[in-house]
Amino acid sequence: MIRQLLWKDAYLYRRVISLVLIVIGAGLALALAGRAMIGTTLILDVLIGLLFYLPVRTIVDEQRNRTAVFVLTLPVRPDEYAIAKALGNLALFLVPVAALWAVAKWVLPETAVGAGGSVLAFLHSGWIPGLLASSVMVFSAAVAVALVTKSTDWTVVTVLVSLFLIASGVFRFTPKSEAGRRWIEAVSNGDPTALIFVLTEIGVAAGVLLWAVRTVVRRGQLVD
Amino acid sequence: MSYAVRIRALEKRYPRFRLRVPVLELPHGTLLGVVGPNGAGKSTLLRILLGLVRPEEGRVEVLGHAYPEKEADARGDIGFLSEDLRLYENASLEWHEQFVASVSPRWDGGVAGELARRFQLDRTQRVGRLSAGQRIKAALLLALARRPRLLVLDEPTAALDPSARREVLAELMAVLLDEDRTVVFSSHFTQDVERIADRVIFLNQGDLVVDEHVPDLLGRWRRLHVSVPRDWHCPLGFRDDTGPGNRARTLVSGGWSPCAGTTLELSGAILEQVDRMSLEEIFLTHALIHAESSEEAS
Repeated sequence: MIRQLLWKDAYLYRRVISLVLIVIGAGLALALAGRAMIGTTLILDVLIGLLFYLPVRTIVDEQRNRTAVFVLTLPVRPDEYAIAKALGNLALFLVPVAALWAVAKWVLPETAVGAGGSVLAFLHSGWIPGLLASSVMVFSAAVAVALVTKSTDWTVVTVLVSLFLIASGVFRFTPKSEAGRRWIEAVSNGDPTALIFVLTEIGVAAGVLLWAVRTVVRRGQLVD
Repeated sequence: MSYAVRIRALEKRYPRFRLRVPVLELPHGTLLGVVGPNGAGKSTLLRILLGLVRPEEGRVEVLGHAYPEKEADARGDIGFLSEDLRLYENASLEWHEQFVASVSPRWDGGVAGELARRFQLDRTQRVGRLSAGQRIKAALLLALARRPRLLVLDEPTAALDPSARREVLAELMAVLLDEDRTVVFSSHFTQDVERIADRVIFLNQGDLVVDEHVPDLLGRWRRLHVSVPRDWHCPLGFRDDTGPGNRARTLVSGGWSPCAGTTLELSGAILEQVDRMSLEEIFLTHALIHAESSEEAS
């Protein structure tokens, strides 16, 4: 059932998916062609846009447009519906995440980032996994809130507050800062702290989504 | 006897509303009309049957599936059509059919094709380009091609203009006459219910006020035009909504029989005319009685 629901959304949001893939492809092409700044900015734009757009469009709007009533009157269980929504959203969100990781890992030279380097200093290879895991965490929170509250307002507030909290932490750890330099050094030396940090973020993201699925199932009221 | 729907001691509470259904049992093949004013609890009751809304109290069993554990299994045998159910506007009816078929074990492509022809629907057209009447018919096609054992229709024609409503209703009746299935049909157009249903329940302010077969209900309610002497007192079993002092009175009786006519004449009234009442008139009277008894109770 989850597979059928995923295919349904893939068809219904085919234009959005195509657009995301085209823009990400263009961003990667630009980065590979030596226009790393423009290419990376393009991918970042997609990532930030999807943080807001996907949960609202694919979850909240289905409730508002009453198309959720159509789906939920079929033999679909609440957990199947919620899991399909979470997986589908995550799959599309991971496209710009993977693209940014690839750019940071293989395209941008270390000299272009870090102290005195590019504006895109946060794309330092020692730093990007934590940042991308943070974005997945924010996105998961937005999806969870959309599933539970079915509200655009709460979803947008969740994204904004999460971004603010994470950015506050991130800015203290820029590669130019003392804390950031220590962090990058630790990562370079194979310190497991970085791995634990990233895994913790992924764990929080998964936990938030599980909470949303459980809440939807326990409440049992799928349509207002 | 096996039942399509069994409800016991159901209670669904909202901050300013409460739906209570002490008992509701529908044998297979029943055509049940659910009527009541806006906000009476009709949609809530129908959504409970679908497992979309979970009651705080009571037992619900649909097609042998106990709720809430087996809600999804029950939905495999329930077709639903509602005024607020929307199909995906940027997808065709054909795509909807494929999707519903992929999740419905009892989907019948032959029935879908036959209904598309009967309803004159272009299956390749995007739903967003269909008229309101065609969209309802498309949703009805998707519900019926699943060959549901229970069909739940929640005010399906409420958003339609009179001609589209008549057309959809005619199609609906033709389709319902085709097969032997249980249908629960809510509407505030009581004439629709009168045409389709063989049993009716009336909800008012969340209470189940009437649960009766339509011919019995229509058979026992009468409007009586009588001439009465001065200082006449209305006997028990009749309701007199005419102002006092009038010699020509219009009474309503919910227990009409020739004996009731004799009782009236013994009280001194002269029976001028006896009219049958429509469901709408009966329910308006019930609503008045219910409101008065609620007022007295409070």
